[in-house]
Amino acid sequence: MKDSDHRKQVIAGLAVLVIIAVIVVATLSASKKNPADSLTSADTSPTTEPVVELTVAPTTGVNAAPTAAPKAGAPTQAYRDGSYTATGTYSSPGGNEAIAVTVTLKNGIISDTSAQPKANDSDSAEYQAKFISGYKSLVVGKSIDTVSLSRVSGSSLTSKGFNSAIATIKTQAKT
Amino acid sequence: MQSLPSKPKPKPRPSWQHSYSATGTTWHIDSYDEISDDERARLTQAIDQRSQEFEHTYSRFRNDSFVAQLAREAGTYPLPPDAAPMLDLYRELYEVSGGVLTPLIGQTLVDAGYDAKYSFQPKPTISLPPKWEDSIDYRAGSDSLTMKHPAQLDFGAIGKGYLVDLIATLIHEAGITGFCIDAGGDIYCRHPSEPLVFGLENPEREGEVIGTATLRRGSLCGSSGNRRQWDQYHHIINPHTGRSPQDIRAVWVTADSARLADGLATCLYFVPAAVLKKRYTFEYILVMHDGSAELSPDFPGQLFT
Repeated sequence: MKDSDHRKQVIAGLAVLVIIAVIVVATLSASKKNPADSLTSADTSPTTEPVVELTVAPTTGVNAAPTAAPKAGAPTQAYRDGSYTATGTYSSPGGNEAIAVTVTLKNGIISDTSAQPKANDSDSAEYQAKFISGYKSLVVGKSIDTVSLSRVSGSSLTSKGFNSAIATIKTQAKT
Repeated sequence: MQSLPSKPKPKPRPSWQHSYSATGTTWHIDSYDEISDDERARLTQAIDQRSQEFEHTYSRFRNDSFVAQLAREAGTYPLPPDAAPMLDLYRELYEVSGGVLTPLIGQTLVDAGYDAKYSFQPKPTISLPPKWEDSIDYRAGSDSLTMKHPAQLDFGAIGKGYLVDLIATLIHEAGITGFCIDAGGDIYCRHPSEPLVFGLENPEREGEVIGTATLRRGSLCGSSGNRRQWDQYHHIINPHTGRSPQDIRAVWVTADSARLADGLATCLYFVPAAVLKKRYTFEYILVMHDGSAELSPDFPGQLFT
């Protein structure tokens, strides 16, 4: 049990890392700022799980222009199309570890992603492998408009009253 | 299993559609067959009426429902003529799941805040459901049911799927061979000429799909708790622990009937697929909270990777 809890924590930590990495690369590409500026903003990332004390260090790949050139005359959007790579580092019980993440953005949506393990410690390597084998299925989505579909199947609870009541409660919780 | 063509054909266009409100959500019916205006008016009226009757009988959100009566007074009640297939499946899944899928979860959901007013204010302690044997006397196929004590039943796990099956029967009996029912994301279709492709909605982001399922005939039902969470609860609560499972992000099931797909989608939150596979024919996708996904080998569709 303990072991699986620990594993969950580590994997949750890696998930946060990937999300942060994605945000950082996307921000870099959108703002075209010096990467160092964005790095400081990455330090304000929320720390949710014990292992997730993260700083995200971009590789040289981030400084480079996207591998796919943005379409001329494309509508204004927050993130430019292209492939971006970043390496995230984090502290694990076995020492400092890193994982590299590549995302491909198209029309503001992640159309592909991959991760390369860079762990030194054998436990960390195992966690990273488990994470990499599974995380893609959620991260990769397609806009409904780009797929020819008869209908969409989602949560079985789409009650309008239910949804609006939940939304109200979340608003109250913030104030 | 059907492999998707590399160049997607345009999707089949319905000849006519009918949308209406039921079970707290919007239902859409697509018909791929033409019928006369008169037949269409008769059918849509029958569908609306059937849906209202069903809600009037089984909703725990209505004071005047059959279910509300069972919550007020013990005794033996004659069952509505359509009740047996749903109750029989509830009884079966109750046994298969070790009591985890139970209609007696009603009071637990109310205590957690999922009540008729949608208050979402959990009580400090929530009651766990009583055992079936201690509360209900019902033999499979029977036309009556005895409540040994009043209890708040909830038919949310199978009820909507069962209503989909009942509406499908109505449409089929009207002579329509190609149709699709979409009950707020729970789907049943028959389409003889070519299979229909359905999107699997990303539980994290509306307007985005993480995969597809392809069906010629049968049901696709999904369930996810993530986006619709209050406090530490969502719409599924484990009757043994009083907690909502947090390790599963989304589930989809395909099966011959919508009631089976709907019920198994809830069971999969608690019961290993291998256990359910011994008894039922279905395919499934489980998306876990750690980001990994489990897809049954013959699932008629794909996840985008």
